[in-house]
Amino acid sequence: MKKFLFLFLIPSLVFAGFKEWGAEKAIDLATRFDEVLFDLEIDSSDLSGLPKDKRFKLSFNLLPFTIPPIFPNISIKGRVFKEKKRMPQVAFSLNYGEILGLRLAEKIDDVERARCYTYGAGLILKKTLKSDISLFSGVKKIGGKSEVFLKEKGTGTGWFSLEDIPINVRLNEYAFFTGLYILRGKNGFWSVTSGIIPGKKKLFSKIELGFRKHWVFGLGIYPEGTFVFHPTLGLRW
Amino acid sequence: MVKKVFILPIIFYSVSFAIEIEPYYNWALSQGYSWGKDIEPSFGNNILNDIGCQVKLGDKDSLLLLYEASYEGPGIKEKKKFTDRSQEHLFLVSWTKRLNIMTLKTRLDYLKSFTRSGVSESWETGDYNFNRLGFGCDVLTLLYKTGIKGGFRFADVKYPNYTYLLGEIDPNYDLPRYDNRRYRLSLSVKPGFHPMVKPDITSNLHFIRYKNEFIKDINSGSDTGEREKDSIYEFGLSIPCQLKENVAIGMDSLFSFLRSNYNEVKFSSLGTVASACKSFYDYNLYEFSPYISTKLKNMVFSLSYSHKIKNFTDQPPEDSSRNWLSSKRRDKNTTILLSLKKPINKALSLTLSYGMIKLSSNSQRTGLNVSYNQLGITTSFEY
Repeated sequence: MKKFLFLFLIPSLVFAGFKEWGAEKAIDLATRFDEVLFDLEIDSSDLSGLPKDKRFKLSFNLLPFTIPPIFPNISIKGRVFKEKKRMPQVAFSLNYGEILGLRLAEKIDDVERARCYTYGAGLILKKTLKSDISLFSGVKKIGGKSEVFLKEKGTGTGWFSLEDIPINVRLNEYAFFTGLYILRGKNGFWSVTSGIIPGKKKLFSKIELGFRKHWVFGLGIYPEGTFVFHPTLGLRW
Repeated sequence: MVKKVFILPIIFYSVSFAIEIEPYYNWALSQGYSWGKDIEPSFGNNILNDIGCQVKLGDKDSLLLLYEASYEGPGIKEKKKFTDRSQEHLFLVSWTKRLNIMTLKTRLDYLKSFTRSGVSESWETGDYNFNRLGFGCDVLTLLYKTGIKGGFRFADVKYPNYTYLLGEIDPNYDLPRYDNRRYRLSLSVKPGFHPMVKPDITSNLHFIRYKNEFIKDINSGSDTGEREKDSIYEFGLSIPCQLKENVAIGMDSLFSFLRSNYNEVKFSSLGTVASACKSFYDYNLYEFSPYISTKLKNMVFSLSYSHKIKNFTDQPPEDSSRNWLSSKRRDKNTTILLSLKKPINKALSLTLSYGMIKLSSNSQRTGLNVSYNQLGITTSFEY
């Protein structure tokens, strides 16, 4: 297991080294906030279907979204139809995540309302190809909202005005995805998911490594995202 | 009536049993880093995803359905200047029919390509966006241990956003400039007499007909009424040799000749012809690529050397001010590539690669005389 850590540490270490690049990313984040929310929503999604012996699965990303509490999230999967010889497994997926810290902004006198959340609802088909390899595919609806409303116009914070930052966005798109799920020993797995949001021509990918029964290392890859790589550590039951 | 009732379920049951579906999935992520004294260090990101299935309809017929999405662009750190990035989506349907003495393959494909130079630009408005609709047919047969394959391909390519700049003023020029039709005839022969050496001899003829690329007269600079026509003649020879169970060497070579009726005309500030060159794109290309690969402890090491020479028959080289010089342009491309591929499990593999690339030319145009190194890591899942 340790030999695979470098896959996930390399982007994190490189990330730490680019300081002026960080300033560019902050501006990019402020001007393309809807793209960031799509990326966070996909990070918090569990799209790989269910193991044969499971009827429900609960998961959430611990790092870096819950600790620190940037984007606490939860995902639930449930089986609708069991896999049979000529029929794939059919499962549904629901997830929700919110930037809770934004609610604290409502304590600022100038801010009337501040909310930012995403949700998703999807359908997943999964078929076993070999004893330890499965193929899955599906579609999900991604929604959400980010809104910051000020009590008076023209009020600013520091050198910029909150009004100037386009973080009031709505998400309403469909995403299509496919992937491969490979069992590793008794409790582990590899999973790769790739998909597209056709309405935004946005491609995304995720690699996940499950170990010690409940832990999952994840790496979200968003080629046109503000941050191309999103390393995560999650828990699943 | 009773017989018909029983026959229908039997037919349906037989057909459903005769249909086999074999899925296919491939995903590969490549991260690269390029550096050198002649270029600005940069990251690159490539993603390729194939999903499809082969449907076997009995013993002699099969259908292949494939969707491929690919992305190429900057990596985790973008250069300060704009960096091109592109994504392509390919839909392919191919039908294979096995006859007694030959196999017939027909295909229909549709490709949609988007290109943009920065995230602030919309994918839909990229100048170099194109759509390609194509079909083709291949015939394969085996005669005296020799595989023979002949084929035909046609593609209609449209560039909806790339129009003449003059079209902003003159409606006669408000035309998609690069729209073209492509035809390809191909023939390949693979003699299989020797168990270790299995050469592959290929020959391709490409004909590209542009619908709106005007040809100018080299003396007057006016439109001749003709449209650009390119023809490419290709001859390839690959000689792989399996020396031992774990060692393979080989040589790939390609000879390619492009002939075009396109003339390049440069105008003076007064609108007269300052300089002109007939058959501006014509070239003779020679490429040689020896390689060796070996398998050690479940890892595959590969080393390849590629040398490419492109001699333009009429195009002169340019100086740094883009003035034509007296000789003929000659470009060279040398690449040494070392790669190491390690399978992690049945579906996952990792590949590390290092390459040294040298481009040289007697033309001083930007980007033709550079040397750089490239380091890459590829993660791939395949079933």
